[in-house]
Amino acid sequence: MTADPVVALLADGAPASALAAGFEEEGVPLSVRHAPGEAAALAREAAGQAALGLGIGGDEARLVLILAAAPGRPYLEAPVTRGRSFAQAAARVAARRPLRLRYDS
Amino acid sequence: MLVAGVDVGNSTTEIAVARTEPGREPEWLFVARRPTTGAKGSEACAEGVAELLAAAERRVGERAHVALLAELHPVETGLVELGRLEELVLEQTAIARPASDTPSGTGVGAGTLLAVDELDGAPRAEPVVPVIVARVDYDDAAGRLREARAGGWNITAAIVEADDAVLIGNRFDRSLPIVDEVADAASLPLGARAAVEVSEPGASVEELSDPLRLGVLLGFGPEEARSARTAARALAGHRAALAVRVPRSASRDTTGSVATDLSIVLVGSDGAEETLDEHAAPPPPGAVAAIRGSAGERNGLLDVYWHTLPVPADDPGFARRLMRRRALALALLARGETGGLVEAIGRLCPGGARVVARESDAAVLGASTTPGAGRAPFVLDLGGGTVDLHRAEGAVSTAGAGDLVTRICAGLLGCDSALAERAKRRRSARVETPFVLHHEDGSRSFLGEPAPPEALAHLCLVDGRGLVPLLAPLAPEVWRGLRRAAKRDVLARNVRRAIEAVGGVPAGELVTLVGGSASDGEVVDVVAAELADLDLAVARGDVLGRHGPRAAVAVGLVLAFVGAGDR
Repeated sequence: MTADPVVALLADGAPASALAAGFEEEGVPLSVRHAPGEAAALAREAAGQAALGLGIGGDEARLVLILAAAPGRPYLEAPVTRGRSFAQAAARVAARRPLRLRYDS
Repeated sequence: MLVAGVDVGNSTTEIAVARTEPGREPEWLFVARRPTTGAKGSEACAEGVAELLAAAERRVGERAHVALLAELHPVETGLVELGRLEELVLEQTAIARPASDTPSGTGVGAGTLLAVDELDGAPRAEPVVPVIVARVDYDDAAGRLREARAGGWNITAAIVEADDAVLIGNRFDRSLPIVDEVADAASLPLGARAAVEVSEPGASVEELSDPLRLGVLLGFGPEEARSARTAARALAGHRAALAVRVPRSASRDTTGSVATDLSIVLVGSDGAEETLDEHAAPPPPGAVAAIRGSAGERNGLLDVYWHTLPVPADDPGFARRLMRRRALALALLARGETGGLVEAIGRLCPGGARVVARESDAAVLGASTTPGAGRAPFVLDLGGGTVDLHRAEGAVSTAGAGDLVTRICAGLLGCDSALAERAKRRRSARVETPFVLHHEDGSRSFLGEPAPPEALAHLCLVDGRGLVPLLAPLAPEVWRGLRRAAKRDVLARNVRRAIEAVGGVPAGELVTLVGGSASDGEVVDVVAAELADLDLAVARGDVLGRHGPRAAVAVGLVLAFVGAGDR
């Protein structure tokens, strides 16, 4: 079985479709699953499941990207209103492409 | 007596404070530097001198009684962009620009620009390129395109304002060339002819960068070939691009000669005029007395130096983009006046200011304090504005040094001078993943902490433990090559010009490098390589055995003052 490169664990209220669109535009596959919890804790769990060690967590307030190799603090984070640009930035981290400046604004 | 040698350079002001007593070596108490606070020779420079004198007073507990100065030679440097006027000509006939980090599809499509809303009507016979503005959602846009094609419209490409190309392509036609992130999509001239090209990842446009092919795609007549050529150059080296023909009613006559507008005329010391050939070697110092033309008018010149920007041999796309800009690094050395500054500095010390030596004598004296040098008969001062060769007979100054290298680096990196100044001196690395750095020699290292997201996948300056991202999409090896080439093209070449201007330096002789640029080991390397055929001992100065190549003139001024017996 091939593991998912990037995993998103999203609680209710997280912008799943904006995340999916952002990853699709960057051409990076994303596996979205629903789970209860807080964004950072979900991201940490997701990072453990992702083949690239990149996990996204989302709740009704914010989105967080955590690297499995540095789980102590978010690598990227943004409010849920910035779901699309956050997703594109996270996809670029996965694809090793330069981020746009001010991805979270 | 407490004296202060003061060297006001084009970019750095240096001070050396010493106590001098008859029959004794100077007691060196304070050596420091700071950025020059005005155009060299202007009164504004006194502000920086005042700060250094105040710092010395705080350290030594006493104000220097007299300030010792050398003669000054102001210099002006700049980067002339010959490409700007070419872009103005281009704007009159075509809109041509690279687009999209994430385009969709591949290939070329050309047709008439129309708003996606117009696809609701009866299909037109000619091919069309719909423009999708940001207010149209990607699902909605894809749906309209599907319906239009089913209704008989011939859609050959699309231009999207938002970052939605892949989303639209995935829902409409994955093979159709679609460019996005076109910020001014809403103001493109609907009804005009447009061409869009997307190449495979890693490749660059082939048809839009070919002037004849682009001319055909946009429907240019032979008389507009010049515009097609300019547009093609603007698009070369990019993965995705669009070109739009500006409607005839909006364009102005473009038959005027570009070459005439861009030329720079050199007026020789004998009065003869000659057009500057950017690919020719500059004449020796003293041969050009004035310039006219697109770089402005300057008289009273002592030297003119120019060089085109270096291009990476193995990156033809980047090379073509640079050629399109046609930037020329141009430095002028003009006679200046020092009167105002000497008086202004004089007011800072109770004993006033004195011009005690030629800069050459001071430089030779200062460089001779390098341990092991004994006597340093030939001193190359690699400064900010000029490369000066000092020797007993006096100095030869050539225009263009560290500041011009900075300007070239800024032009190559597309950044401001402050960042370019750091980029000139620092190593670089590319952040390959949050944890892996790719260095200039091709090696990799692993980071203990992840690199900041803004540095990811960027060429970065390695500044201490920090990473400063640069926007130029260059591999570290390529940037190192360009940076070294900039130093060679300006500093090493001007060193050679200066040596040739004095009739050469005897084989085996010691040449001591001083000045701010000589503190950069890479500069010492390229200068030594340039002079390899002359069989010279090229060494870096270490003034007073502890200041490196800095403060040679400031220290030398104090030594000149002591040597003159005026204590």
